Amino acid sequence: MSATIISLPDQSTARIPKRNYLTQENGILSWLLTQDHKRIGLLYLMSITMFFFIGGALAGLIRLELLTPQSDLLAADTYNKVFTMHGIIMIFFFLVPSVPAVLGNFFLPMMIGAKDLALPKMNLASWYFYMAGGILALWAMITGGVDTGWTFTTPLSTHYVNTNVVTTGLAIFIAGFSSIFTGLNFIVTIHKMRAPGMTWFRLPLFVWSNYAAAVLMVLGTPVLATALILVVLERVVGIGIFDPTKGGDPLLFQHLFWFYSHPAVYIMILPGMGVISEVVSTFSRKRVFGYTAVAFSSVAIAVFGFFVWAHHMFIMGISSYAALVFSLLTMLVAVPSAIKIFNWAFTLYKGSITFETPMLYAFGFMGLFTIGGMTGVFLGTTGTDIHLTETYFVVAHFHFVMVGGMLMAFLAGIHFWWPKMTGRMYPEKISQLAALITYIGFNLTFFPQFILGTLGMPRRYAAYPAEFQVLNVFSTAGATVLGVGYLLPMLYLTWSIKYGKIAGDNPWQATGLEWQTQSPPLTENFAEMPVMDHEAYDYEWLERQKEKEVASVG
Amino acid sequence: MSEPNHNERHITSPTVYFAVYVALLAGVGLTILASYHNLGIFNPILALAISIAQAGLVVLFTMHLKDSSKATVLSVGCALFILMILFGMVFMDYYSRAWGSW
Amino acid sequence: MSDSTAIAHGAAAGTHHEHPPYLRHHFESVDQQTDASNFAMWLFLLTEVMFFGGLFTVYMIYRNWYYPAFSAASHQLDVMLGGINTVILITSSFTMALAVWCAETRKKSGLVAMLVVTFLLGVVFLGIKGHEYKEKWDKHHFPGASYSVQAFVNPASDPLQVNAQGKPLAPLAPDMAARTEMYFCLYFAMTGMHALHMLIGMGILIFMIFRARAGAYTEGHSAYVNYFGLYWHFVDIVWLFLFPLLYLINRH
Ligand SMILES: [Cu+2]
Repeated sequence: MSATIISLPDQSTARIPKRNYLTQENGILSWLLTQDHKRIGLLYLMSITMFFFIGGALAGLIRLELLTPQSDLLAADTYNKVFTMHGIIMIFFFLVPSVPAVLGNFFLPMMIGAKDLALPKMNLASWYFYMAGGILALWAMITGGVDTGWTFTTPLSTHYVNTNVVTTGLAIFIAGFSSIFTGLNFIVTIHKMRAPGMTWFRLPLFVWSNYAAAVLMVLGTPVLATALILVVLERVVGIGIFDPTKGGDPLLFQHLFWFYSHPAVYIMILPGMGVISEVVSTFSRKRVFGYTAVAFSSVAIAVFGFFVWAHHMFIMGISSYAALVFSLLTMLVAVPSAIKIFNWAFTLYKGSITFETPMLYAFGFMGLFTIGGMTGVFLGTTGTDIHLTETYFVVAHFHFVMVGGMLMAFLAGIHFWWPKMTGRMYPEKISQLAALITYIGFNLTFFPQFILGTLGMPRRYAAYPAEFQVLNVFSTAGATVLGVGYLLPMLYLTWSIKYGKIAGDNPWQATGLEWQTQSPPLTENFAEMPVMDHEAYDYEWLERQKEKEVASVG
Repeated sequence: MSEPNHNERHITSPTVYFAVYVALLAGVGLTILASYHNLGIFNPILALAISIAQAGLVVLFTMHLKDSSKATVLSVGCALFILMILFGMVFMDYYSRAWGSW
Repeated sequence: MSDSTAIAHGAAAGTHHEHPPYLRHHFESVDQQTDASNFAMWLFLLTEVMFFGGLFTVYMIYRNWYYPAFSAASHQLDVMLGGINTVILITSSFTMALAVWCAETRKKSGLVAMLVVTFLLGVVFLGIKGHEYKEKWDKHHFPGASYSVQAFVNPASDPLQVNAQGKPLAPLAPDMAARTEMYFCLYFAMTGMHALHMLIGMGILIFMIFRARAGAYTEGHSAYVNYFGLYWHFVDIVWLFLFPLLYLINRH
């Protein structure tokens, strides 16, 4: 791992530019009332990190409880609340907004050469909605919690539990606005704010995948809102729409809920895939293989994503004919996902690969996401699903996709763009170590759960038969390692804000427009309006640019 | 590019609005009238068809979708498509539940 | 690529032509700004379409399951009042369109007048709607513990349970009669959600009337009136579907 592409300015003379978006204005109000997409991105980064560690602490409690077969650390009903809040916080307050609202907010306008998102006020409003929803959810958790699971499945949520379903439902409803606002903003920005010369097929793939995710946010989230409003109405005034005794059908809730929540997994993973495209290209010094195919596969995932939701309901009582159709359509989604994986692999082929931290995370993503995706096919097959559903196999599957895939992508992105956000490098050696620890910890935590699931250990129980203990101990041990893997970046990234090496404009020699301006960027992003006169990922163009600079200085 | 009036969009004349208005009123009359005649299965179909036609008029002319950018037209089409997926696939489940298992 | 030419144009012209005060800093031209905001408004309306789409799905499922109950219960609604309300809403949509036209052609008093008329029509609509709600409440047709199926198990006792020829409708079996509650749930949820959208719209209208009196929209920047118009027309469209679906089931 000696080869590196990092090129930093001479540290003895380099300075962080005096005028940048961080120094533009001072004081707490300049942050709370900012309309600068970069500052809003940072506000999101801080709040998301907070929710991530709350959700992570809850995950720690779950794993500790599962260390022993009996329900001893937590009472069974407390355990229900803990895994529910873990799911709600991680999904609605970390995974859904993570890459779009932090990295997308920060970099999407810069990548297309715009000064800001099209609707800066709405962008700020989205953060306030997010915080309002998040605080309400935390308040619901502190004042008694909720134990329906993050899916709010009826009639459990409407009739059988007596916890803070209404408060939590409203919290997610409010947070939904933040998601809609971000998505809407992205779509408008990508359509209307591109710099001269920035045609659709010159857009970085990060922009394409965020666009696809934004479409899902805009069209999916309102249906979740309908579903949640109906649950709230059911609990508050008993309208009976999901109540069998009044002629309602509890399964209808699941149709509406999964109509959003299946596409929601693509809201979570697509922006992450965009990060991986950027990282893989940059650290193998090659244009992404099959650019057009990768771009359209994002759109295809978004479209197919709306056709498959009932695979979450195979054993719930939908008609077996519908199950057949949904099962077949589910297989279809594997195609565009595989297109991405294969194209990244071909990008690596004959590239000059280097192994900086973002690339390590990207490798982690590719391996783990593939396993997660393939096991998804098992679950999408109606026959195997009957055996595997509601077992730890499902838990392992979506954690491979969400934690192994999405979280790895998020960390890859954070490390990749950290120099641009702060103007300073993170410490390379320790971060490579952290990436490695995360990878080992992750596999140790979640691989045993596949085995547990096939052996038949059901999910969502505080106690389990004693013969499952060995694998659960592995899993809990892995979670500890994983926790260290996540704490480390938190610490050294904070450290690097002050003490990191000065990064200069383009430490990775990357081609995106965001790298062709100072770090940290100006409030208006570019000193003058950039003109896009080359294709995306054109490393030869970058070489020529550098030669020109040398010539003009010389 | 004609410089000063560049942002003056195409202004729809009140005559167009009025024509749409009259058409909508006629549509309402027709819907009510039709609902008092026994057309069998066509009662709800006709009512929905009239509603869709009315909505189409409003969207195209009153809301100027006809003069909007391609992106807007495409987005509207995309949303309607996804809406049909929601309707269609939920109904597919409910309809085929009656067939029992195989 | 009209937007990128607009950008290039704005960048080149930036030095020698005045930027109007309503041009936000991150746009290069007014054209780009109106284009973007207009598009954003449409996208927002599409989220609303999906939101109501969820409700319509629920409605159609239960209408198919419990058709006799839905048909009987819908006879409790007054087609006359519903029809009048439909006409009122269509008219308010028309006056709103005229308001847009007034703003575009810089007719200030016309704009204010049209906005006020639109607002007043909204008030009348909600007034009639409130009257209808009260009727249902008084007859114990509001879902909940005090819900009464009297009118449906014994239609002869209720003057509204008659067909177009004035003959009483057939009584419903008790279990089907109980499903009329589902109809009223959906009736209140859907019309209530629609009324909520109207209330929000009317709040914005009040604000706009004051701004219009100050001349805000008639000095070249009429875009906001247009955006609000889109919203108001959308609310109108929702009602155009609600009216036949809720009021006109099996009237013959
Ligand atoms: Cu799914």
